Amino acid sequence: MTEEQIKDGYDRLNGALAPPLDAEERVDRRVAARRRHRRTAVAGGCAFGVLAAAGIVGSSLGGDDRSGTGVAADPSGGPVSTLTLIRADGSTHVFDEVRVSCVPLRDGAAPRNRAEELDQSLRIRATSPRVLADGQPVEPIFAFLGVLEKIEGDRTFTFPQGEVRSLAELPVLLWLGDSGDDLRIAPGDATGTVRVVSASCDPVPELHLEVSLSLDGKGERPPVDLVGTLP
Amino acid sequence: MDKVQDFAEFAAVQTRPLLGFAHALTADSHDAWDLTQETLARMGERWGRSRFDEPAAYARTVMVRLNIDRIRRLRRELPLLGGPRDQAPVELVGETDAWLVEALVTLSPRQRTALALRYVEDLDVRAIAERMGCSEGTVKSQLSRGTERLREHAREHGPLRTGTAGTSTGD
Repeated sequence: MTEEQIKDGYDRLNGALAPPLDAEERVDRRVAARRRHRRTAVAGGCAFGVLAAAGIVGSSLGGDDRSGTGVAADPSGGPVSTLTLIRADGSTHVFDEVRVSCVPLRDGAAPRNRAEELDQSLRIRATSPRVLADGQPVEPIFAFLGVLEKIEGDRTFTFPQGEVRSLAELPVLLWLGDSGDDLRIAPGDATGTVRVVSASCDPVPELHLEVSLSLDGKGERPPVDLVGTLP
Repeated sequence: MDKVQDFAEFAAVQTRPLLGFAHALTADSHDAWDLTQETLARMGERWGRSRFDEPAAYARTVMVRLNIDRIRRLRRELPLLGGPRDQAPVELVGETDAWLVEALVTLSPRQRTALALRYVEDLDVRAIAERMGCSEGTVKSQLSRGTERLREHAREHGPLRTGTAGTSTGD
């Protein structure tokens, strides 16, 4: 069996099928169905409850940028994300739709809590769509939050890290939640690296990550891996 | 040209080659159409909102990623796949090699993907790794194991060719 014979076999396979005559209508119906699904998807964060005590999720990851001095959110486009959740059983989920945006600087008084402490720095975030049904997530969730001034210039962050006394010390935070599962967090549950190849909020939010993490399970929860690149 | 017409023209030109690529990725006419339709739907959904430097190449990247994760995702998203399968809407218009189709079914999705990118898209290891979002070493491993499996199957079953132009469907 030569390379040429294999190639010939593939050439025949490649040309063997003709699309249905109503292909255009079928695709249009599928596009419309996906748009309806997206409109009904709830942008929420119930699975982020584990972080609610820290007061971070609501202010940093949930929903759109607040009004005021925010940097415009990036209309997702360009190359697709390859970030992939790999479960212990070998099944995978690709986060191919990740939205990158910048969180506006909070101006005003001195921080009163950890969330406000974090609010003092310009942050860039990347989030996958959060799709809920009956209040429960039906799609795995990925979220990244980085303090821009601490991650610029091709930085690699290695986990686990030493003891963290303040969230303000953390240049990057990463959340990963599987459907119906609670969240895994880096640092904290993670071993591996997150390389921030580039990050910028000007003129538009841009973030390029290379992720190779293993996130520990707790109790009976098995560990999972997160690997791939953004975009 | 408005974006609706623009996408319609893209889809009209790309549906056939995407279907061929999907056939090599899946070795199944039904799955090939599902994958093609879903890929075009993803492109259509973003058309006009996103910038595609090379939409044809981007569509293939979308298809590759969808295929790797396709079983779990599409069974949830496409009700048809959850129940009895209707006849695939595609038409078999050319010959297929039974030994190749049978061998591909025994491969993992990643092995089929690496082989399709090599033999259909004529990509080198580096480009395949970029499309699949993995290392070059992983691609070499997938290509090596996949090719060896094809050769084993051909040795055991022979390169028999089956299928006749004009028949309805089926692999």
